[in-house]
Amino acid sequence: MNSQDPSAFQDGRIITDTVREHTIVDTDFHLELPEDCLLPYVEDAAIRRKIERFGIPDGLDSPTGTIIGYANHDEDSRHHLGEAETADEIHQVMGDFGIDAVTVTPTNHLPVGTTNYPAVSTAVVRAYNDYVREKVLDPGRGIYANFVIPHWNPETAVAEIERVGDVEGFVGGYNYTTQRLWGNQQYDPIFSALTERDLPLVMHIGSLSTGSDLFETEMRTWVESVVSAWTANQVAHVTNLIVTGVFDKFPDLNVVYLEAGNQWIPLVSNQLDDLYQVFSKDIELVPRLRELDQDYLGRMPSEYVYDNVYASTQPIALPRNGPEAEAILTACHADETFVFSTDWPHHATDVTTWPFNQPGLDADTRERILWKNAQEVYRLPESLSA
Amino acid sequence: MRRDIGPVEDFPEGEATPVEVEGRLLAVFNVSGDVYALQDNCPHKNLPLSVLGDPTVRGDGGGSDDIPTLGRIEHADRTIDCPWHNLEWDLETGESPVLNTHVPTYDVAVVDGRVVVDL
Repeated sequence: MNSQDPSAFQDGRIITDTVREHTIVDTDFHLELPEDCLLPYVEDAAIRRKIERFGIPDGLDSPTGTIIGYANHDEDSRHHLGEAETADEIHQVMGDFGIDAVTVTPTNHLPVGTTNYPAVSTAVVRAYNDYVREKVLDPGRGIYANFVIPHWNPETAVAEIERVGDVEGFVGGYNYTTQRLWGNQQYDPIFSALTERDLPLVMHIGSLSTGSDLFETEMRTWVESVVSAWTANQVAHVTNLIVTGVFDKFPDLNVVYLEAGNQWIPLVSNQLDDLYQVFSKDIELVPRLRELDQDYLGRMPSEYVYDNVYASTQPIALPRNGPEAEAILTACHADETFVFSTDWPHHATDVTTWPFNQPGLDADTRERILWKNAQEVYRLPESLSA
Repeated sequence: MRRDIGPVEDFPEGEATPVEVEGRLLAVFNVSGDVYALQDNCPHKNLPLSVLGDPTVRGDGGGSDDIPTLGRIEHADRTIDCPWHNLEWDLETGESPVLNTHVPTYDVAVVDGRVVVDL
């Protein structure tokens, strides 16, 4: 569509009064923290010394793969819109884009995956969480954040949730979708600790690969990784949580998936509903459901998606054809599953203007996407829209 | 319909300049003295092209009023990379090597030191 929608611009401004008049919550706003910022928060002297000299060790399932440089022609640093390390810097960017609240996420390069040195990983996570608590959280200015869960050791993870999960301003427990599926029962203590605090599990898209040769060795482009490997990862993760009975055991657990696309929602919901009716006996051997003495899921798979799962919007990737976009939004149950995100400052940032010139997006659904769904799942204050 | 949109000095070299004329928003590019005019809208995400060449653009809000941008003018090829997501556009034709659509272009010339656009 080449026609220019006047709502996209106003008096030469990009972020118009129309945008500013609406409440907007950004659920994927990245801190860009150099390692130096974390060092003062690393308590263990030996670990701090190692990090100072050799950096943070790469994760075995770290959230970025090896092809990013070659595939993304990121040779001249033209792929970042800026950096924010503190509450003041975040607040400036919020003002620039007309954002009322953010739920801050770590830089994608924070190596919180499984490393050969779990003690180092745990120290880094604790340092990150402490840094955010001290330098970032500022609920009075709409700056909330996710704390990172050191998932490689459930006892450590629960201890960290107990340590920081009740801090005002932390609104979710964060990790990445990598090759490890979270339907494994070892993660139940984490789900318990989160639901006891009404905190969602927030999962950012993780590894570029699924660990298979198909994705590891054959792909050469960024776009195919994002569209295929990330989507495969995402579908695997959300399906796994459902069929392993996570939501049967933890019906109040909400999971927010970030930057994983969102048009997988009708795929997972409809295909899983259909095949579950054919192969429902599969469920009876799932360990968690045996523990619950359940032969079947308590609900149809799609009901868990619509009630327990949220997906961030960036990259929104809706067609400009209104009826087609409306059909996709309806099929995704966007009014109850989508939460707005920018992915600032990364190169595919969605600016806050698109919800105001997207054909097929009605006003009620737009409000749900822009802030109401986020307010619900992150338990943000009622005063948010004031 | 020809319209005078100002002296050439108002259109600095190596930059894009936004112009509103007859209700239309144009992005006017001065590339080594050659002037090009495109509709000021990248259809990828409906965002303005005219902020290209400016390392930051006016957010006009409560923050720093300072939104960094991407993109650049490729002087040799007479193309631009969109300041928002780097999508390439040809300044003369408005065509993209990626899409089968184009950004509308306008004939524009410097006449006696003034930039004149044909709407």
